[in-house]
This record gives sequence, structure tokens and C-alpha cells, in this order.
Amino acid sequence: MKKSRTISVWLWLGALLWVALLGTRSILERSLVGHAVLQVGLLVLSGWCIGRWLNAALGRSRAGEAGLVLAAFTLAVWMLPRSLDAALRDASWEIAKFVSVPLLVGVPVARAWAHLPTIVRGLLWANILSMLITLGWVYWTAPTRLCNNYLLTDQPLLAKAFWGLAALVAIVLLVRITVAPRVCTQHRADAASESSLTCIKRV
Amino acid sequence: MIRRVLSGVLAAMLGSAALWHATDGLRAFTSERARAIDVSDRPRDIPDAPLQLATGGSARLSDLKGRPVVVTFIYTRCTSLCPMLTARLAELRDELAEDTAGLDVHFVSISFDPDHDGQAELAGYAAQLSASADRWWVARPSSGLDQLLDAFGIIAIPDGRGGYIHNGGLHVIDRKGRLVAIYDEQRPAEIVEALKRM
Repeated sequence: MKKSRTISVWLWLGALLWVALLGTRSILERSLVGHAVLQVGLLVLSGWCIGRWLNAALGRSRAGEAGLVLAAFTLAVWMLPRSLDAALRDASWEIAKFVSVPLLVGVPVARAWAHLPTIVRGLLWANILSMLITLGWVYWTAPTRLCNNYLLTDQPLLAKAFWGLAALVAIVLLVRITVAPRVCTQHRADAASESSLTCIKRV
Repeated sequence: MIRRVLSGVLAAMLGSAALWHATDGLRAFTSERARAIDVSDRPRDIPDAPLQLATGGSARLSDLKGRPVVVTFIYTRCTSLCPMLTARLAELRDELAEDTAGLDVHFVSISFDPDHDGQAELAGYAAQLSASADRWWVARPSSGLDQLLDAFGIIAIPDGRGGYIHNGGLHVIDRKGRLVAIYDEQRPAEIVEALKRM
């Protein structure tokens, strides 16, 4: 009973966050940082909560890797200046954003993350860090406006937000690497040989 | 294992298709580039907004049917993009002054700030450019500004200091009155070539 209540809390959290983001749409979309970082980031989080609920309700996903590939492409689409502009001018793009970001980014990440090998997680974190830094650099150095619906002065602010996020991710990773529990597995080549113990930190 | 690989490949294909669609085949990463590609791929009709000219007269874009037209959107107090666009228009006018090919190109600068840009402001702007009304209209729409901006894909945002931040370009209208190309101010040679092909 208690377990099922905990499970449905994730669903409610995700749904509430999604509805709250829908309600604050015009406020967040007034600035480039609010749109590209806060709104898109929180839409991912709402999907992640729903993914946690699905994990508990349905068990492990069999298509975790495929989901992550789809999540990477979906996020790439929504990081394009053109997509952000289109979402402001065209209702079908806005609907696509509110549906695709939670369902095709947040949910698959939550479904796949727990079952990923440590080395794959490390690669993904490295990729996320480098993408945040690169995106920041693109917006910082762009000589012209990339989004027609935002001011030129919004771009350096967005760059700083991406770099701030990158710094946050780096700090969290460092802390987790330092304090992460070691997971050990025992290996034995054959019955006659001695077993060996391999320990890694799960980040 | 095979199922996992296949589903990964399928996801990559779906993702690539979405990215391809969102960037017009990896050609447009910004909406400004997408606007130019869209017009070039699918020439569009433009609303026939009534214009009030700097000379005091009135006209419509449809009055120019049969002639190639290059249109820019400006406001007279602008100190950023508009002077560059206007300078390019003036260069084009000078380059085409000896119009041996008989192109008969007409130029139009339309203000999207009609509240401030009255006839006096437009006349002052036209005088600075030595814009003669038979080849270059400096004008403001007397109505239908939003529809005109929508059709051309112009977005003007107040900059908080009384001016605007806006996109722009040199918009080419063909002899049938359709918007067929948008060039940025960096490519005047391409516009001349495009006009000569009309």
C-alpha cells in the first residue's frame, strides 16, 4: 500500500510540474534563459518523474538504449534557435515541445539511466558537459541574433546560464565520484582459478 | 541483443528524420535562414497593403506589378540594421542606374513604426537618400501593418529604449508580385544576378 502510494507520487509530481509549466508558459518564454533552460529543463524533469513512475509500475525498460538515442536527438532539435522561435510563433511547434520533451527526453532517460553501465553513464555525463559548454560558446560568440523573438542581449545571458549549468553538473559529478559507493563484483575465469574482485564507483 | 541494436538504429533514424525536418535538410538552424529558404522554395503572395508615401501620395505594392521590386523594412530612427539595409539599397540603385538590360527595378523602404514615422520623418529619410519617387518609395502602411509583417516574416521587438530590435533583409518581389527571395545585406552581388534572371 505504502509502496504504491510512493509510486503514484512520481506520476503526480510529473503531471503537476507539466501543468504548472503550461500555466507559466508566457512568463518563462519572455526570456531566452527562461525558455531554453528553465522551461525545457523542467519539461525534461516532468518527464523524468513520469519515467520513475513507469519504472516502478512496469519494471525495467527493454528499449533503454534506443530511448536514450531518441532523447539525444529530441533535445538537439529543441536546442536549435529555429525551434525555440517556431514554438513562439506556431501553436503546433509549441504543442510538439510540450509533448516531445517530457515523453521523448525525460521518460526515456529515467527508464534507462538506472540500468546503464557506469562507463556509459560517464560518457553521457562527459557529453552533456561538453554540449553545455559548446552551446554557451555558440551563444556567447554569435555576432548576430540567433532567435528572432529575443534581444541580442539575451544571448550572453543564455551562454552564462549554460556555463552555470555545466559548472553545477561538474561539481555534482565531482562530489558523487568522491562519495559514491563502491560496487564490487567477483570474477572467476574457471573453477580451478582463484576469484578476483573488481570494484567500481557508480556515478 | 539483435532486437536492442535494431531498436537503437530505428530510434537513430527517427531522430535523424526529426532533425532533418526541423532544419530544412540541415540548411536552417535559425529562423532567419529558414525564412529565406521557405520563400525561395515556395514563393508567396503578399498582402496588398495601402502605403502612404513620403511624397504625400498613396500607393499599393500591386501598383508595381510587372516590375521587379526590392523591399526593406525600416524605422527612421534606427541606427543598427536599417542604415546597412538602406545603404545596400542605395548601392543597388546606383549599380542599376545604367540599366542596359531594361530591368526597371523599383525599391521600397517600408517603415514598421507608423506611429512615429509620419510624412515629415519619411520625407526627411527619403531626402537623405536622394530617393526619387519614380524608383524608390519611402513609405508607411496606412493599415494592415501586422499582416504585411507576417507575410514577410518580419519580427520587431521594442528594445526598451524607444527603438526596436528587428530582423530584416532585402526582399525581392518578382514581376507577378510574389515574394521570391530574401537576401541579407552582405550579398548585393547575388541580388543583382537574381534580378537579371527575372
